[in-house]
Amino acid sequence: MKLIPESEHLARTFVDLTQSLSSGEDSYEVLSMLSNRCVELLPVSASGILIMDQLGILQVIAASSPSAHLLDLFQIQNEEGPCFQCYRTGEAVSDIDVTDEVRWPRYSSLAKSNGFTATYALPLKSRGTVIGALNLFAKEKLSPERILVAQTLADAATLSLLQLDPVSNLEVLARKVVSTIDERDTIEEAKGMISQRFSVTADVALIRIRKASAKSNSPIMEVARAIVTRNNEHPSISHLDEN
Amino acid sequence: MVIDANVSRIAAMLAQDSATIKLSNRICSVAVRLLGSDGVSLSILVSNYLSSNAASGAEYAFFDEQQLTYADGPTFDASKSIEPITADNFESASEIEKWPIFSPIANQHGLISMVAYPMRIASSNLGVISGYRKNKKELTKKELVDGLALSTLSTSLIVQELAGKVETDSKEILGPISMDQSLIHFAAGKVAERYNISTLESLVRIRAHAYKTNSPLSEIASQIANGNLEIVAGGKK
Repeated sequence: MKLIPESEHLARTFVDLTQSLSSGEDSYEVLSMLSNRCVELLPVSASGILIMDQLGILQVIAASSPSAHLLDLFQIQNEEGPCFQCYRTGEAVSDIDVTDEVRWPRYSSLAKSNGFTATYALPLKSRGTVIGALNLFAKEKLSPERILVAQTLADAATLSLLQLDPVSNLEVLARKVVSTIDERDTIEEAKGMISQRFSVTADVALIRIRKASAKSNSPIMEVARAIVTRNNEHPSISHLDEN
Repeated sequence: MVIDANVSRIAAMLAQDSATIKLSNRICSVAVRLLGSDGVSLSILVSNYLSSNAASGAEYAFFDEQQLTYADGPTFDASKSIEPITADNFESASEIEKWPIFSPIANQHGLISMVAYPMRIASSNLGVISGYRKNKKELTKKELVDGLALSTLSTSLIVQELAGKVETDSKEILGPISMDQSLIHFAAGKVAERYNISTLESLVRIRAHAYKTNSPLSEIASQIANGNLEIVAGGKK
């Protein structure tokens, strides 16, 4: 098999993942990082990570762009598309050409209107159980080597939920899923507050929260909690009004 | 959207007798059946303080009150936690060190172990469901997972009740939780900031508006997120 040029970047991603988890970084942030790394590492335009919540409902946890979020959500709510099939069968769904796909007409049409021609869904699996999926949206087909890289990133997402322990049990996973969804919803509330406060879009609000997190050297979840609880003494808060 | 059969079963259990039995008592009754506990208690956050609300018996109400009074014990810890808090054996040195006031009370009354589930909705904690055991049987994975589902469904039901809607069937219970939660919480953040209220109060206000106008919650949240709707205390602006 050919070596892929992104090997070094991939290795760096795993080092970052290990460091993030060992330093106690929140799962939401780790999964967001992995979703963004997919776009950096692979010739794809967008990516999204979905996990099954404590009620057995698929939830979009991280998406690299609003269009990825929209397409992920569409599949969950309409039970149609490669991600939904991947989740049901536990098998990767690859090489879907949305310009020539008849199984999911509404999904294909939506993907096309968002500028994508190929989509991929890779399972997040733990001990044979599907716990979610990594979705990739591209403008060209991926080579088998790159699909392998994508599956490796999906496995990394699974490992992050299992706290890097592949034999971790259902209890650890169930607890982690609950806290990850809690983190995502808290971030959304903080984004809503910042969006309203400064009359900015959701994306700009998130950028401001991330910048405030970096400038105050505080984890993003800590900043989000400070925003929603109106803890104005937190060192990050004074950075939120900076463009 | 596909809803897990087990979750639908729990929703149906919670909906049972909704016309005649108070929600808090129904949550306790379902919790006893699902958590494999001898008894359960339910604490609800009222004006920023956790207070005992219901229990499956006087002894379990006592355990709940003791933990809240002394701010010590798994129930109290769960009120500040994202994840469930478990106590495997109140006689062990580690549990006594962790809960120096409640562990002796538990031992005196023959309580061996317990699990306390926070009832969370994003950044807000509405209360705690606690399950108590007087035997050495460990909490199974199924019981843990059922408890997580129960606490999520119960939290949603309490928010709905605060919004003025008593759900009478399982489909209605499952409705709000199967929507795009990201959008709903983003909208809640906007309303909370606009009116200087908590995000929990904001979630309640958004749901109340959806019920009052008979509109889908997701549609109301979408309008708020896009800046096309402002929710005020008495209705829309």
